[in-house]
Order: sequence, then C-alpha cells, then structure tokens
Amino acid sequence: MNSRNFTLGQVTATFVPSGLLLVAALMAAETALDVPFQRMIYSVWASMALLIPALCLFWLPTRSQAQKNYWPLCWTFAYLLYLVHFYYAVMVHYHASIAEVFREQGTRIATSNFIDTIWWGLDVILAWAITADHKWIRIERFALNVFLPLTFFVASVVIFKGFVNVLGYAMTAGLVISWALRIRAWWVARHPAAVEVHRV
Amino acid sequence: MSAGQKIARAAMWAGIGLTAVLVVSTLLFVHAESTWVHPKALGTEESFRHSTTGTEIMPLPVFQVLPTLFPDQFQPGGPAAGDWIDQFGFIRGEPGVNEGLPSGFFVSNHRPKSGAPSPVQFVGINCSLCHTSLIKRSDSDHGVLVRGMGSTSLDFIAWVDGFKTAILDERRMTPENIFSTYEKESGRELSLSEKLMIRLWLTQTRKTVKQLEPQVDNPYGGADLLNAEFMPNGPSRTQPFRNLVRNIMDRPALLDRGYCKLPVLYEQKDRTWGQFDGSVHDRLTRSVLAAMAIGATMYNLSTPEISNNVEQSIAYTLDLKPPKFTEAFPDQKLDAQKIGRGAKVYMAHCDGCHGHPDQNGSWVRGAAQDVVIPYEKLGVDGERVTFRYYDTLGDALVDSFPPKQPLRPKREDIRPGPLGSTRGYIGVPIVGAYARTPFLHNGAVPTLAALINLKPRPALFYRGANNYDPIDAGLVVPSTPDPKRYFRFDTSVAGNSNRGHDYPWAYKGPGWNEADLQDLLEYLKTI
Repeated sequence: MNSRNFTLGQVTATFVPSGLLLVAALMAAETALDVPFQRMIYSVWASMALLIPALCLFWLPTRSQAQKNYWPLCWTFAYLLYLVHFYYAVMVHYHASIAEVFREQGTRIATSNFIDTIWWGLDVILAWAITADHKWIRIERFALNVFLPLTFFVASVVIFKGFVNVLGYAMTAGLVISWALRIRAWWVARHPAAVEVHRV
Repeated sequence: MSAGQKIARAAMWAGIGLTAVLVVSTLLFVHAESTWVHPKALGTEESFRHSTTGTEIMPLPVFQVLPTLFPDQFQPGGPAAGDWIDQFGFIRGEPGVNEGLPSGFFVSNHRPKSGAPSPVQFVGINCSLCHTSLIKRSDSDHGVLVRGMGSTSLDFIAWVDGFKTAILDERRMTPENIFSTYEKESGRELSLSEKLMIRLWLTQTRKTVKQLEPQVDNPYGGADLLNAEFMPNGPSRTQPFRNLVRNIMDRPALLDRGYCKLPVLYEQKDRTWGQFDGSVHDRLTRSVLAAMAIGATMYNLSTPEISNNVEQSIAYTLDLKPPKFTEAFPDQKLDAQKIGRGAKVYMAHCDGCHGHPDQNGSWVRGAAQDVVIPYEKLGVDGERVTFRYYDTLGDALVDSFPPKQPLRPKREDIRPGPLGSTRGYIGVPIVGAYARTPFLHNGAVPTLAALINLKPRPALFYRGANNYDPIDAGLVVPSTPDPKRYFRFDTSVAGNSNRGHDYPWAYKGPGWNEADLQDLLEYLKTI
C-alpha cells in the first residue's frame, strides 16, 4: 500500500468530507451545554467515520491502485480528527493531567488510549515517509490494524451508549465483511484448481 | 483534457479550497472564542459582589432596554411607584461601577447554562443579590448596606415572572425593537456579533419559557405581579426547593408552599448544616444547589473560573458579620444593666438551641445547636418541610449528577437521608440578631420584639420596601398598603403562619414577664 500517485479526485473525496466533518464536530457543539465535552464526542465520531473505510481498505484484498491510494488518505485524516478528540479529552476535559486521565478512565482504558494515539501516529508517519515494502512495517501495521479496531470496538460498542454504537456496529460489520473477502481471496489464491472446477 | 474534465477538476479544486477556508475559519473561530473570556483572580468580597456564579440571564443590551420596552412589566405599580429597581426592591448600584447595575447583578462573557464564551456581555445574578440588604429608617434615608443580610425588599420571583411575560410577548420583544431601543438610548450601534447573539439568545430563551408553560403555567405579569394571591412569595422570600423539584424531578410543584425568607450568610464557618431545615451539609453543595435553583448548571459550575468564584464567595461568608447595632444606629444607646439582665434570660431560654457569643466574639455552641427540632414541637409553620417529594428529592438530586461529576453531592450530605430525617428546623447561631429580620423561617414575624413575644405578632401586614425600627429591632409593617409596601402578608394563608417558637414564653401566657423580655431584647441587639 505504499506506492503513491494520488489523483485530485481521491484527495477531494477524502479531504472534503474530513474537513466538513471537522467543522461540523466543532460547530455543532456550540449549542450544547458542555461545549468542550461535545466537541470531544463529535470529533471521535468524525474520526470513526474516516477510520471505518481506512480499516476496511487495509483488510480488503488489494486489487486496484485506487484502493492503495485511498487507504493512507483515510488513515491520515481519521488520525487528524482523532487528534482533535484527543486534545479535547486530555487537554480540556482532563485538564492536561495524565494522572487525572488514569484516575478517571482507569489504567487499562487510559493505557490503551495512549497506545492508540502514539502507535497510530507513528504509523501515519511511516505511511508517508517510507514507501518501500518492508516486512517489519507489514507486521507492525498488521498488529496495529488488529489492536486499534479492538480498542475502538470496546469503546464504541461495549462501554459507551448512544449514536457511537451505530458507528461501532458499522465498523464491526465492515471489518467482518473485509476479513471474509480477504480470507476468500487468500483461499482462492491457494486453491485455484478448486475455483476452476467450481466454475465448470 | 475535455471540457467536462476541466469542469470536474475546477469543481474539485473549488471543493478543496472551500473546505480549507471553512476549516481555517472554524479553527480561527475556536481560537477567538478562547479569548472572549478573561478570568481574573478576584478576592473574596469582589467574588461575592461582582463575579459570575454561572447564573447568566440575558445579554447586557437587552437588560438595559427591557424596562423601556416593558414598563407594564417592570413598573407594575405605575410610574409614581418608582423605577424597576425601586418596585422590585433591588439595591441601586453606583454609576460607573459594574456597569451601574444594581447590587447582585454581574456582567460576564459567559453564555447562560453552558458557560461557553460569548463575544457579548451577559448579565446575571449572584449571591449578593439575595444576601445583601439595605437597612433604612425612612423612605428618604440612604440606609446602611449590610452584606450577608437577607434582602428585606427584593421581590425576585415577581421580577422573574415579569421578565418571562416580556419574553413571551412576540409582538414587542423582537430583535429589531431591542436593537432600535438600545441604539436610541445609548447612542451606540450594536455590532453584528451582538445582534447575532441577541437573536440567538431570544430564540432559545423564548423556546425554553414556552416549553415550561405546560408544566408551570403561564407567568403572571403587570399588576398581578404585586398580588399576593398570584405571587405568594412576595418580597424577601423564596421557595428554595420548588425550582429544584421542577428542574430535577420535572414536576410542577404547584402545591409547594414552602416559603422561606432570604437567609443571612453571617459567619458560615459556624453553620454545619445549611437551610432552615438543616437539609444540606457541605458548603459547596449548598452554594451549588442555590445557584442551580436560579439557572446555573453542573456544566458551567465546573468551569475553572466559575467554580473558583463560587469557592471565593463561600470563603467571604465564613467570617462575615453585620455591623454592630450601635454602628448601624449611632443614635441608639443601649442600657448596660438591661443587657446584663437580658443575657441571663437569654442563657436560660435561648442558649440551648442557638449558643451565645463569648467575650471575644467567638460563638459558643449551645447544647442543642445543630439539632433539627420537629416543627410540631416548635409549633411553627410546617409547609417548608412537608412539601410533596420532600422525602425523595434528595435521591433525585444526587442521581441527577453523573457518577463522576465533581459537583455531585454525597448522599449523606443531604437530608432526609442517612444522617437524619426529622421534619423540622435547625437550631443555629444568631449572630447579628437585629439584622436577621424578618423572623421565623418564613419571615412572618417582622421584629425581634414580636419574635420573643414582647409585643403581639401582627396577623396581617404589608411588605415591600419596609423601613427599620431600631426600638423593636425589625421591620415597620403597615396594616394598609401603599405604593412601596404592596404585598399583603396574611399569616392565615398556608405557608405564612406566624405561630410557634414561643420562647421564652407565649405572648401574655404562663410565665410571661414584660421586664425580662425588654431586657432580652436589649441583649439581643448586642449579639
């Protein structure tokens, strides 16, 4: 997924919705009672809206250059929106106090959130900085694409209730379908004869 | 490249450019927003007098033109009865100080309820509105301002109803009328952001008032604001838990008659439980609930600036005392012999529940101080402690805060609850006894002389901007109304009873001793 030849259409199709989601997340909170808190909520919704296609694109069997190009764009914009969420969570809601984050969220959740933030950020940098295909990057990215959706699943389906559940279930459904297609593609590649027989 | 492709490319670039502009504008707006509020480190007195406690009401320009737009609501007694400050018993402010607003109003750049920054100044009310009073001996007297004393003249609930009636008047209360009246009166043109904020505020406030109408009925307006039949609280009183029942339990509380006088806030360090019924323990919780009853929310109360202001205001009241009686009334000489004899009467009949001051002025606890005494035993009006939901409000109150909300009260800090469920009134220190008028929790007894039954308690009198009588130590209450004393206080009405608390003795009952009571009154003027 590292070769680069982004088209204007691909950039437009990811940047415009990302930007509009950011604007909506920040401005929709203006009518809320707790403006910073709602910005924290809305920005993670916006991030998930971009994260879901990014995760699916990663797990789908790679076929086209377009798929290869859309992945880093979605992955990056989702991360930037996540950083907005992270800012309102840690710097505003928890008053820039790491101790308060751990006290309020508990060690397990706070730790996984910080791992998400750092690891995902490093991977975004890797995605743009290193275009060559390295095995260690493949392993790192594979692990991140297991860990990250797992933490988002826990947060968006198990812990919190409300609209975020819709996003959580959408992410889950998208991943299940992507994994199924990936397994099918892998199986087809391993058993071409069987596929030929089936066609006959 | 075909024409279609060129158009598509141009459209895509336009989309990217427009989105970039929107994103940058939004980020600039968010940054600008953070500069609208300038939190200042205020001292305790300044916090008490002029700081926001999360109870913003309306934009400053609206506040300034309302009396002009709605003389019928803000001068319900007619022009001859004075301006809105006089008619609702506010205390006039000083020109050039705090925008010249009456005592208890503040200006801030926070929006109501959310506490979010606003480019437009909002006006709100804080602790000093209800807990500052003017002791005047005649209508022309400038008076003595006493901070911490419950206002003896403020008719706040009537003012709020007049305000709501104005909000609901869609013909006169329009943005255009507000703008033109303001610009005509001030000579200043409102900015675009001010106009936008006023429009937004008016829309939201009108919507909120309309939503409440089915629950709490239409507000009263005009001359009805002065009618005790419709506005039974009257001056210097409130219904402290009616709004909490409405706001937290979403119930109309229409039968609530738990009227309370606006209490004093002297020497709060000696008050372990707040409210007349001793129902709230923690000082911060007391202030939070008081602020929430008049519009603050757990959200704006959690912002650092507002939270600090509340804490500073509480700190101001810890050692707050009224002036000594002889400082407030330099022409009144007290008789040392009578004081000495009165102290003995006090120690025999009053000290148990109220305690007494020692030589240094520190308060010595009474044996039954802080004990909630059943209202039946005291013989006083019980409406304040028998209102519907009295038993369940505590649970609802605590549950209305999210579990990890820093302001969430502890259940044991609210009564009825784990630490008691007696329906009665708590024995408290009575420092500054002369400046606690009117007396009893419901303000049904106008003077100390009547409270100790030296003199009979009037059954029917009129309240408003009553003057002070230093002889009987309390309010002069006429038996017929006049423009300044309009509220008919009928002690036979539910919630208004002036019976009970017959200490040392019932009026002319067994043991009644006029000389002892005169001595006691003299002593009470000294504590």
